[in-house]
Amino acid sequence: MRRAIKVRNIGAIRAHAAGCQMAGMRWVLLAGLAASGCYTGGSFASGLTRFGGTRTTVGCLDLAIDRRDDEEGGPVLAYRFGNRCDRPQVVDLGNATVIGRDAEGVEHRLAPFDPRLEIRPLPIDARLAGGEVLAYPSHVDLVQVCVDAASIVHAQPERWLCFAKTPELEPTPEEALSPSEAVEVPPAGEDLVHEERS
Amino acid sequence: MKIALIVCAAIAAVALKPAVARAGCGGGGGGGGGGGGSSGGTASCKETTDIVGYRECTKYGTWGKNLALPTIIGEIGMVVRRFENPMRAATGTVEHDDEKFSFKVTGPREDTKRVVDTAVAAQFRIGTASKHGFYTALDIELGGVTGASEEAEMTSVGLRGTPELERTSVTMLGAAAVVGLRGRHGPLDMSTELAAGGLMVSYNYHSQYHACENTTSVVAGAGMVEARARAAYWFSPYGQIGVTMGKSLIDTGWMTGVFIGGHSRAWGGTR
Repeated sequence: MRRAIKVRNIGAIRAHAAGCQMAGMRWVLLAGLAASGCYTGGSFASGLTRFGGTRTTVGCLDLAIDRRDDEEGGPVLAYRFGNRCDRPQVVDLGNATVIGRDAEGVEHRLAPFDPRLEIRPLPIDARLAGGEVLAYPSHVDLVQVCVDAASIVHAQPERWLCFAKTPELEPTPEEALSPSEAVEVPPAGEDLVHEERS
Repeated sequence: MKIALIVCAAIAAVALKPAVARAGCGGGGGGGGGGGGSSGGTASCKETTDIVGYRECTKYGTWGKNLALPTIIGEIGMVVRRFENPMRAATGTVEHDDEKFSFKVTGPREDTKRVVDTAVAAQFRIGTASKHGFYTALDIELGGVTGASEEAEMTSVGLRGTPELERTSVTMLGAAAVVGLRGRHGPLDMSTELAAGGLMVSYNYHSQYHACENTTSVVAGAGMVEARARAAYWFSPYGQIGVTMGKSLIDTGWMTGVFIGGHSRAWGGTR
């Protein structure tokens, strides 16, 4: 039976409209856009909304990734990003290398759920912020998901961020872990990059 | 575009507003020009999730939409314009009950003598730009003329005499198509542009015929060709504030003003 899709952080998505996003023909945002000062490099915030999750900077992109509750058995990753440069930066979430690891330590290459084939590389303009939430269908239970953040901007070297699975039960205060706590176990022997968390 | 349409519609509504009949009077009047003038979302969509592939209302990549479209420029500003008043001699009409009166307006432009008046106007611009620095725009100006002189004289008499005419205001409406080229050096933009269009002045009157009141107006217009220079400072990648100066290429008029504008692409799309 299909589980109801969890509504989470819709407000944050909408809050982007109050920041520096241009959506469709909403030219009324021009004035706000001009006056807002837009995305400031290193702020990891769009308007009044701070990027949640693990933060890193790759190329011109300030990036924050958060793991949410699994959706239909697969992990869900929320990406928030801001272009810190004065020129456009390509954001290619479809190219992101995402690897899941099951309880036995077996690695599984993951691809985003994209039934309408809409995920494609897109440039984000200078000093703008954006975000997307992608689901990665999987038939196995993945205790850890790792993302090479550098692959999102086609950069080298690899920069892995890893996320543990959201605990199923209410944790005790001692056991409490953030759903997307970065785990210091990189896949395939890669070095884990420690990033600032919000 | 909606903003531009609303602005244009509002200006058109003001400019083309028919005379208002009051106190049970008949219809309003209009004036003839002189001196070359003329008379005159989508349905609500509620998301249940923000996950790509599941969500219904928002497509992937709205954060990159502005780069898929041409650079759109929107500006609002204020200009002081010195212009040769096109009002020479015109006739107007005004109605009170069933009586219709005509009057003559003699503007400041007498014979060959050119009279320069001053207008203070709000300026609105909507335009588009290329990454090479070329831009085109439509300018709309709407404001008031200060110190415009004129004489209004009734030329017809009714059953109970003639109405008393009192000038209430002189308004100016301008519209111009603009082409320009700009260059950026750091946070500064310099540009030169050519504007061609027209200006229209409207002399507005209050008419009183015993207990009956009415309003009417007489308009005149003239062409405008102007060379302008602009300097602007980018206070954010998407916003700039600047000054503009222009000189008429067909008469002695000139203008100067300030503006604040927004662009749909960073630095006007020049990067």
